[in-house]
Amino acid sequence: MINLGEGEKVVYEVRKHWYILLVESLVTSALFLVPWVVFFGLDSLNVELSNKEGTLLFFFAVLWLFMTWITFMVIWTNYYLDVWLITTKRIIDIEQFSLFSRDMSEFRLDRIQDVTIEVKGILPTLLHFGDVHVQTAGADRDFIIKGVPNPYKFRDILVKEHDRAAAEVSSKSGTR
Amino acid sequence: MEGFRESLTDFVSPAILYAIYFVALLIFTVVSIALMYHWKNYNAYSSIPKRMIRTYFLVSGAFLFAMLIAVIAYST
Repeated sequence: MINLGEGEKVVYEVRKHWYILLVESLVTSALFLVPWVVFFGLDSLNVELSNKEGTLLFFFAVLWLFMTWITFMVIWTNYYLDVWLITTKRIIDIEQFSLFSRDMSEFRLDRIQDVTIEVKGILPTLLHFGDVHVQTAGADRDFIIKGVPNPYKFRDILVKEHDRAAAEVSSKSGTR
Repeated sequence: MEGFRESLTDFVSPAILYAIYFVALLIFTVVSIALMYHWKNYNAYSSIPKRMIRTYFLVSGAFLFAMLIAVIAYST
């Protein structure tokens, strides 16, 4: 869990576009079809199976589907835990690579200097997702957030929160 | 082909199927513990949808039950 600071609130929470999950689970979906293809093949070849053979085939078909299902759930968990949060003070990027392998980075909203959106290709354009590049003051690298759904909305919220955070910081330093 | 099918059913004894079933059960247990650990500790802000957790256990349970029925049917 993320520990939010005093008075800090999550403004926006976003995960990668569902298309990314679809692509990542494409192999699993193809594997899910294998038993059905085998059954269809045996049926079309008019292969007659004894009760014992049929039961054995059924067992291995269900075992295959079960393993595919578990693999899909691991992929889904990695997808679901990969998240970006815009809070009233910072942006938090949690990158979930696989089970027990994750990376978390964050930076203060008032340090944002530039936000660029990149929507490349037909599918990202039609499905409304893209990459968001965030340049921060002092950082030696850009933060790239890939596969963001509605990147323009994401940018608008980010810029709005940045303006608010920057105004808050300058008003605090002005009162000193 | 017929010979292969007969030798396959002779080779795969109910004990082997039970062993495979218990290995699958073991894998399910380990993966479920890992997933639940992640769902509980690594969800950033909002919690994992309860419907997804329920679906995971229901579908897995259905598969395990179907496999168990198949093993019992195969051994009788």
